[in-house]
Amino acid sequence: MSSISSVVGGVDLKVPVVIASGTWPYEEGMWQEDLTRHAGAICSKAITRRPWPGNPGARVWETPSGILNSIGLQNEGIDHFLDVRLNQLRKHGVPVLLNVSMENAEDLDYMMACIAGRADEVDGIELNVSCPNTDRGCMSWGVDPTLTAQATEQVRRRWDGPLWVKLTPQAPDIPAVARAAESAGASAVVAVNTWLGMAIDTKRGVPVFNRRVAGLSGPAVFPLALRVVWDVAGAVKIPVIGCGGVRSADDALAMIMAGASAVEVGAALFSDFGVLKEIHEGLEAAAQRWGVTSLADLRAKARNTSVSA
Amino acid sequence: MIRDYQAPLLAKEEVSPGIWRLSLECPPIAREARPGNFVLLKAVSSSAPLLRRPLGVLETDAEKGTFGVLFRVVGAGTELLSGMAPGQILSVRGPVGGQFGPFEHGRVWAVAGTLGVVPLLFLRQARGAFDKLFLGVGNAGWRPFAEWVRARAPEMELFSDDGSLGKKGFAIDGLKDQALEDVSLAVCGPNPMMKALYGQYGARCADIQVSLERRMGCGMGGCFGCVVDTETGRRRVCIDGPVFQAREVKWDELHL
Ligand SMILES: Cc1cc2nc3c(=O)[nH]c(=O)nc-3n(C[C@H](O)[C@H](O)[C@H](O)COP(=O)(O)OP(=O)(O)OC[C@H]3O[C@@H](n4cnc5c(N)ncnc54)[C@H](O)[C@@H]3O)c2cc1C
Ligand SMILES: Cc1cc2nc3c(=O)[nH]c(=O)nc-3n(C[C@H](O)[C@H](O)[C@H](O)COP(=O)(O)O)c2cc1C
Ligand code: FES
Repeated sequence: MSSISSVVGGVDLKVPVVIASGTWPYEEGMWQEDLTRHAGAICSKAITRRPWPGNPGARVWETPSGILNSIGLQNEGIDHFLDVRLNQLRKHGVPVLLNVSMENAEDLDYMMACIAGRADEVDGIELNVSCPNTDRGCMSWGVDPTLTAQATEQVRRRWDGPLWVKLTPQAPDIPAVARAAESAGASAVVAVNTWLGMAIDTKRGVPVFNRRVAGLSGPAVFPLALRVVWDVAGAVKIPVIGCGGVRSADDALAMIMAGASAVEVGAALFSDFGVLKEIHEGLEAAAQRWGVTSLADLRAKARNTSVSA
Repeated sequence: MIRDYQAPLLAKEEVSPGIWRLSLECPPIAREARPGNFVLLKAVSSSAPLLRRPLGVLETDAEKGTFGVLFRVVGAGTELLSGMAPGQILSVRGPVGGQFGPFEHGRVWAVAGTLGVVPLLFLRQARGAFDKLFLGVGNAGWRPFAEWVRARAPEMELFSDDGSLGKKGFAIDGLKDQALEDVSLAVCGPNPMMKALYGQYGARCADIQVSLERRMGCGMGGCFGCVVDTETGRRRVCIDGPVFQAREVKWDELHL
């Protein structure tokens, strides 16, 4: 029997497939057993210090094999999350990471102080320094190694549990940001959040989104994300969670062979709930096919055997 | 409970050029769907197109385990759906959303803009004929569609933009000079039509239930891509709606 479970960046994943932030509801009805069996963990929707209405205007737009979104972090704020949503999420036996997003250092400290008070109930923090859909904060931290290190250190002052830092592909030097997060105490990095894009409504002759730009994800970005995973895995020793366009066991395996320890899945759930099960079972089958006792034995396989790395 | 189901296409019918009715076998949807609910369909398992297409539930037959949709081909997704052959399998997500009702008044009138008649016909299946049903269409090209609706709902009063079918005008013109104080309205159509209806008749009718349209990502409450501004904040059309009380909607902010 081979095993695909592992501890990744301090989080116990019985399946190395994590539901990506902002793609799954808190509502109980959506948490059926046939889902929870196949999800290793879930990242909450982004949480901010105060309730946040998100962006006005159009928020989603389909692209070839992808989706542009400009949600803008709509959420009920940290207090409501801890009062209501955390308990709701924890009922399902799936580890919960809190996707924490902030405008400034003060907000981050406030949120981490609140979360520290509930540390026993939180399986990990996913520090979101990478959302491209706000005018202030968020991605402006993640494009810069120094700022990313500052934010990571700041979380570390209040939190010694699992800390995943979610990277942005908009950073001019993504491996440098990953290394900065690592030295500042991150347990893992998630590569990557959405890619800045835009759309024009040619019927009306205007940009689709009020903020003009939006974040692209879905299968369209998979090769881009895979390349980032490869680069980042070569730059840090902490685990890398591959994220961007994963929609099949084969995609997940490619991420792992490029150096990822687990994957996150988001947009693929919009088209098919069955994707988690398919990836779970497909990874088990792949481990057997390759004759390895643990999926970890396939990690970075392609790096170790490629002719010119 | 919203789930993804594999549903065989049992029958298809082009009720009017470019407007298709599909009948699908899916006992859970047939059992659970309520008027106002919708489903999200996917014709292909590939990622082109990636997203599911939201379509209102037109009818159900719980005994046979079947339900129907009716849609107009407007782009690539609906084109693909219209090209499915009986026997092929579609993926159905649903049933999604809340429903029409309860109504404040015993008398319920329905106002539909073209394909907006879909959830209203399902409401009719559940409660019987409407006291009044106003349907608005564009021009004479809509005749077969209008006749198809009339065959199912003989109480239908027809309006067309250019007067070539029924009366000249919009569906909402059916409300002109009517006493609306003890009437509930069930409305579905393009967002501008519903906005105009509320603007003109909102002061005279206290119970106007509208089914809104928004682009959707997930169709299950996860993405917050489909929100509308309401008196109680930005709410998701997919699972907090699609049916809202018209007075709760901030109409000036509404667009597709
Ligand atoms: C709750 C709800 C119920 C609906 N019920 C019906 C129905 O019963 N019959 C019917 O004919 N149409 C209905 N529509 C509209 C239908 O979803 C669109 O016509 C369809 O999605 C168009 O897809 P397309 O690929 O052909 O067009 P494209 O324009 O190529 O689609 C591109 C993208 O925009 C989205 N989109 C385009 N138009 C609309 C629209 N009007 N509303 C929401 N998303 C849109 C598509 O889903 C897709 O993601 C409903 C919409 C909603 C939100
Ligand atoms: C509608 C939507 C909302 C998202 N919201 C968040 C968010 O709140 N926080 C975050 O870190 N990432 C968010 N993301 C990014 C996803 O978590 C993920 O990183 C990205 O979509 C790439 O993965 P995918 O291609 O599998 O979707 C969002 C993505 C989508 C499509
Ligand atoms: S479509 Fe995703 S929340 Fe409504």
